[in-house]
Parts: sequence; structure tokens; C-alpha cells
Amino acid sequence: MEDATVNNRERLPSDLNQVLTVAKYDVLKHFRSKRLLGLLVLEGLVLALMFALPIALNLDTSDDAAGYMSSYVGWVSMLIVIGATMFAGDAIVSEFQSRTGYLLFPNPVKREVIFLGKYLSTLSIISLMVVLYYGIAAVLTLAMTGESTVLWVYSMLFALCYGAAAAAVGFLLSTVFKGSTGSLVLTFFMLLMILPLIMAVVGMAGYDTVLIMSSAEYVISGLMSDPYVAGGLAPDLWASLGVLAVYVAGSLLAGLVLFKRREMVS
Amino acid sequence: MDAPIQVHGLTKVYGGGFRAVDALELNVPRRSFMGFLGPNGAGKTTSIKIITNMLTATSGEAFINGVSVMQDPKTALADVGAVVETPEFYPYLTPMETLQYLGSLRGMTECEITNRGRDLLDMVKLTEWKEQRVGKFSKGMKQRLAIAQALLPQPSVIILDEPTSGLDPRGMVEVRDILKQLHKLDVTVLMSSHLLNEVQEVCTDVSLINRGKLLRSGSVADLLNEVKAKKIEVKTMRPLTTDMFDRLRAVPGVQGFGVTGDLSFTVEFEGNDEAQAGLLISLQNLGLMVVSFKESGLALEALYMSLINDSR
Repeated sequence: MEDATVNNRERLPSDLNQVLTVAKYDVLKHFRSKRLLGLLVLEGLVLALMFALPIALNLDTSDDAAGYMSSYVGWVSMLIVIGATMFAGDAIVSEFQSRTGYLLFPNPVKREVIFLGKYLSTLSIISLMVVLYYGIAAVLTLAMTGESTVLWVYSMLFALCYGAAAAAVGFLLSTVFKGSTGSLVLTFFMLLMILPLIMAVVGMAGYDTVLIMSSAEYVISGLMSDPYVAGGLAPDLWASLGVLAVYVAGSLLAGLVLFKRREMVS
Repeated sequence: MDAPIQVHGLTKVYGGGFRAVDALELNVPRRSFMGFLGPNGAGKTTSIKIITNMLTATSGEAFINGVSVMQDPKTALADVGAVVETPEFYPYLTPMETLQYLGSLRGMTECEITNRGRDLLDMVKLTEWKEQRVGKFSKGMKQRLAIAQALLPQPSVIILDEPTSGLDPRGMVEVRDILKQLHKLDVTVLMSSHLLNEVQEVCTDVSLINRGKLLRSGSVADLLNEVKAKKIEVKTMRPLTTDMFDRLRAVPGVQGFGVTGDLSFTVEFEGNDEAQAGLLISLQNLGLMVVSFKESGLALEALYMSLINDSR
């Protein structure tokens, strides 16, 4: 083995380059994992059932593209919750629990780089999942109604924002827990039950539910109507978008602080 | 700052007040292979984790090539290859992909990683496994891969935390063979261990710690010279019987002895090579029919035990 002199300090890549490297290999993890395969199978199953069941049972479906596609869009938030759980729920804690942190952390990489790279990767996978779902649903809509609508694109863009917020919450919980199981379970129940429950109670008490992240689910469905009408549990579009941004920023910031402070102990 | 690794007043107090590292001072001379020696719980791994930015120090500083690990860990660790505890690998990556990942984080080109990775995998005897995913590797294979990734960027500083810990005898021999090859490189190595024979076998220098404090530091040769008494292991064809005890004690240089088996015993001996040859002749004259007569590699053990006991 030769021993050439190299300047390891000078050739260190920028933080941004390192973020992209971490993201690239984390995406590879998702592509090689059974979780992504399982979620894609689930997505396919939902699409197949939504398409085939009305035909098989001879049910009337809307002739209007937006109306027909709304039935597909109704499942998007559930898929995002599952996606955020599977790809964000243990993203950070797994480095500690499975001891891969012993491999990664002694490298000249800042903790924030690792955190953001992993978040970027999770965001990419959730986005892929959402875009794929909307894309196939749009094709099926075209096939069944003979027309298309731009409304699904708005709904999809908002769903991507909801996905970013759900993933950020998952990341925050992932930095708190000592074990993957607890982190995954709490992420799932937080997004599926706890936040919706709080929203329902807040709504029943007569308060605006826009501050609860789960209210964004109503926007995803509501955007399939033109114009979008706020009311009931459906919050104002721009206010909801702002709330999602706050969830993303707040959760990531808190998660990052916790991750930086977390020590690699056996 | 000539010593590539310098530690000043390093202290780590865990919750509950447990002081794992206590004002540790450590200097690792350039191009030395320093054994960081101490009993379990002495603070070796905690110190190494702080030096490699995995734990936060309560107080004190650690410098690598003059850069503070606490102030600028990215720059400080740029020229460091480390194996801390037994790291786990990403099971979905092959050894070569693992090296590509870690090499990319350090700014190595793909071509450079491929060429160097091939050489390193050959060195750690993982060439035939380079396309297999790491998930199914044995602990020994993972440890060899861990050493390969530490050497990948051709660092000037290598930090190893008990690299043979938990390995079977074959794995230990394989890893030690790799460690010995590090002597050929222009590197400074800090290796923690609680295996005295390992340190004596591969290290040029040694720092002894206990309860988080440095007890002694220096070259292995200098420290061994401090230990005048040697331990000699003897195997014989005939047993050492009680009637021979007084005659053995009377041999010049013999400080004491202990029977370790029916046909084996150890002699604590102080003296030069000539006196040691005289001991062998005396043992033969006792009619023991000596089969083997060797200096035990545990001279360091005597110093180690005396320092550890003094520090209690």
C-alpha cells in the first residue's frame, strides 16, 4: 500500500455537497428497502381498488374529471402519514440504535449536514410517492372521464407541503426517542390520531383549527373544487400553507438542536 | 504543536456525577503508535469518543494537528481515520459502496476511491466480498472493513478503539497483522486496548490511564526498562517437587516462583541475559528436563498492575 501525501483538509467538500452525498446514499437505502416496496404496493392497491371497485359493483361515478379524481385524492393524506412514519420516523434514532453512527460521526461532517441530508432524502421519497400516486390517478381519470383538470396539480403541490411537514414532525420525534419502535409508533399515532383528535376537539370548541397541522388534509381534498372554499374544518389555504411552513421550520430546528446535543453512548 | 494529538485537561462528567475522564493530559508524538491502555471503565473509550466528536467534554480541549475538535470538528477530523467501538455498517451497501460513501464525504474522487478501495479491501482480505452487501458480514469482517474505511483517505492520524475487541482468535490475529502494517505508513496512531500483550506487540509508545487520569506515558521500551523483574514461563518433563523449592530460590536472580500446572511453573527473575542462561542451566541440573523456557510478554503487566494498584 503506497503512502502518498494528500491534503485532506483542502479537499474537504462544502457542507452543501456533503448534504447531497448524505441524501444520495440515504435515497439508495430507501430504494433498496422493503419499506418503499411495501408502500408502493399499498399505493397500487389503493389505486386499483378505487378504479376497479366502482366498475365491478356497477356504481355511478362522476363524469367530471375533478369530481372523479377527488375519490383518489381522499386517500393521499393517509399515504403521506404512512410514508412519513416509514421514512422519517426512525431516520435519526436508527443511527444511534443500530450503531451506524459510530461509522458516520467520526467523519469530518457536521451533524446538521447529516440531518439535512437525511431530511432531503426523506422528502424526495415522499415526493416520489405522492407524484406517482397523483400521476397514475390523473391517467385513470383521463381514461374514465375523457378529460383532465389542472386542479389535481394544485392539490398535489399542497400535498407535497403537507408531506414536508409530516416528515419534519417525524424527524423531530426521531431525535427524541432512544429506540426506533417507539419513534415509529409515536410518529404514526401523532399524525393519524393525536393531531386529528386535537383538531376535532378544538373545532368542536368553536376555535379555528388552522394551527393544527392535520387541518391541511382538508385543503388537499378541498383543492379539487374550484374555487377552493374554506369553512368548517377546512382552513384558509394561505394560512394553512403558512402553518405547514412553521411546522417544517420549527420541527427541523428543534430536531437539529436535539440531534447536535445527542451523544453517541453505548 | 508538534504532537498530532494533544489533549489538555479533558474532563467528562456524566449525569449522576460519574467522572469518566478526569483532567486527562495526553500527547501522542508524530509517527508513534501509541497504546492507550487501561482497565475496563478507565475512560479510554470516553476519551476517544470526545476526541472524535461523538461526545461533548465537560471541560478541557482536544487538538488534532493543532485544530480544536471542540471548536472546529470538521477541520480537525479531516485528516483522521477512526474506528470507534465496533461500528455497524449500512447493511444495504457493499464494502465498495461504503467506501464510496465515506470517501465522497471527504472529497475524494470516484476514481481515487475505487483504486484505493481496491487496494484496501485487498489488504484487509475482503476483495472477494466487495460486491456483497455488508448486512451478512461477520463481526471480524466488519472490523476489517472498519479499518479499511479508516485508512481510505490516507489520514495522518488514525484512532482505533479496541480494534480486536470481541473478535475470535483468528479475527484477532488478522486484525493485528493489519495493525502491524500501519508501522510502514507515515501515520500517527492512537489505539486503546486493555490487552497488554497486544500493546506490547504492536505499539511503540504507551499511555496508561485509570479512573480517567493519566498514570504514565512513554515509549514501550523505556517503560519496560523500568520493570526489572521478568516473568519466565517454564514447561518441563518432570514435575517441580517441594524438595526442589529451596534450591530454586537459591538460584541467583530468582525473586519467586509459582506452580501453574503439573509440569509447568513461572519464575519471577531479575538479571541480565547471562544470569538468565544460568537459571536455565540450574533448572536442568535440578533434573526437571526443561521442554520450554520463555520470557513471558507480560513485563508490561507488572508495571501496569503496580500503577493501577497505586492509583486506587
